[in-house]
Amino acid sequence: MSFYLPVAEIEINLLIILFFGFLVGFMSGLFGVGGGFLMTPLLIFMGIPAATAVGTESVQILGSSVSGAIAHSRKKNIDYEIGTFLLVGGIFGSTIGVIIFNFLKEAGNIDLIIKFLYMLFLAIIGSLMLIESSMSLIKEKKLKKKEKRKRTFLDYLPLKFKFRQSRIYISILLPVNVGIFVGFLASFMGVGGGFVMVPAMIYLFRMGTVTAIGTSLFQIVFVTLNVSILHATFNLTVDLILAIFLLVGGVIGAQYGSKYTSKFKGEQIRVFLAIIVLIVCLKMGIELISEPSINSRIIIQDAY
Amino acid sequence: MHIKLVIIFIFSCLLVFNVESKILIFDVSKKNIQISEKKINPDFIIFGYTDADDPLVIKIKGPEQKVILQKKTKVLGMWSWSKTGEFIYPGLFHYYTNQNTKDIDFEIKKDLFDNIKLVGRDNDNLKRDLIKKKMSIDLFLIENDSFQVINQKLKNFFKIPIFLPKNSPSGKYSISLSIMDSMNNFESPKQFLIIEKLGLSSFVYKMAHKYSFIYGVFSAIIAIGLGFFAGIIFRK
Repeated sequence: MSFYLPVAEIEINLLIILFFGFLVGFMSGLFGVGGGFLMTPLLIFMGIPAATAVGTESVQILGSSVSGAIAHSRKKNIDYEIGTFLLVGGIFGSTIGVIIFNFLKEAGNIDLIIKFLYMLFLAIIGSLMLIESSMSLIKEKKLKKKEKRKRTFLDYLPLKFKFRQSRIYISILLPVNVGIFVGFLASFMGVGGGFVMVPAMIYLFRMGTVTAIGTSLFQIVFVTLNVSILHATFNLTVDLILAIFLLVGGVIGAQYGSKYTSKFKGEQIRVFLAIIVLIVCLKMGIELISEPSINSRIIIQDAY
Repeated sequence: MHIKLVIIFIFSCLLVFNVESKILIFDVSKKNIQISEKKINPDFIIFGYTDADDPLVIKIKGPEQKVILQKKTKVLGMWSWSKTGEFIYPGLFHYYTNQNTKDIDFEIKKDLFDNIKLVGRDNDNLKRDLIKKKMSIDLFLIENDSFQVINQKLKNFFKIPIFLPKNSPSGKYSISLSIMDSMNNFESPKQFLIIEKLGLSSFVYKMAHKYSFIYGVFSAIIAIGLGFFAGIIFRK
């Protein structure tokens, strides 16, 4: 079932794409993560140009986060006030990201930047996750008394605002800056950024976990919408056919993956995920430093 | 039916064209060609007649494209693509010859080099790289001894079945037939073809490149729709 992907300009077996979509969807469901940071490297390993992998993945994330965002909205798990500030930052960060992406693509360095960013982020996330989950598995869980949180410089930031739903009083600079950072990541790495936003909202904003997840999904929908349209318009890196097959495989996979979550301990799941992340990171590193099999390529810019 | 019509056309032309006692005439079986994903038969056939014993070359030239050539280079120990050149170049170049000689080879390669327009400083190495790359994806082809005799009794008549690659660009193509005689280079009047690509891939490519904003919005709507639909299906 080979098919010529028109934008990626590569002939590929669509059953393989469906399978990988399913596989990453399964892991998303199992681990409770978006899966963008696993799918984009996988697409790159399959020979899809890194820039097209990023653009296409943003469309896939858009599709897969819509139903989650709607479900959280129905349950009133979205803090729209914080979400708006995250979104303002996200739109700004992602737009700037796409502009820089375009500049680097023209210069021919975008592949290197994407792979390098992936290697760096996956190494950090994988290592932190592995250390934290291994420690939790080894040590017995000790119940600690809730300590009063010490004040940090974040509490002294200006432009403070009372967010009624989450019952927090923080500077709007916090969600705006987190949004900018996540928006930038979304445009450069083809990720939703939930793996940065959710911990930031829980630990920095002191929001509840469920509201943090709902608000993160709300931001992801609009930021990936912006990124998808901008990548398609300025970088011509969205392959709709590829995105549809990934989305179909991913949605089905996620349903099955989520059924297995309860069969593992939280720490065990995090160890598995950390190992997978580190394997992907290692493979990306090897690709970056090993001698390439193809050493030249042509890119058709315009047809006259 | 097509073959008969072409032969009648060639005969009628023979009465008119005669260049320094060398007759050179050709036509194609179809002028509007649609390239589909799967094919068994040739896209079109070139029919012709000549009484010359000289080397002949049929040249198929595709529409011009702006092309960027990238090569892998090492940056801080890591392999990265870097832009090495920018060209304006016919999207496809196919040469079919009736012989296989060094002279023909030389003339064809010269013709190829002359047709590449570099944006910026001229560089033969870049041109060579581009030709090599184009050759690897079948957009550039030299096929020697490709003229087939239609009938053993009519040895001056020839045909060449043409298979265009799937990645051939859409647009207006020109076909010319030349006698490659160093003393007297003669080229017959050109024939023109319109190449169209069929199928979903071609439609998506056209949308993505020509109407990129609409394509982006459409992609987003499709993704949202699919996500929404999946949410309804899998809701418990």
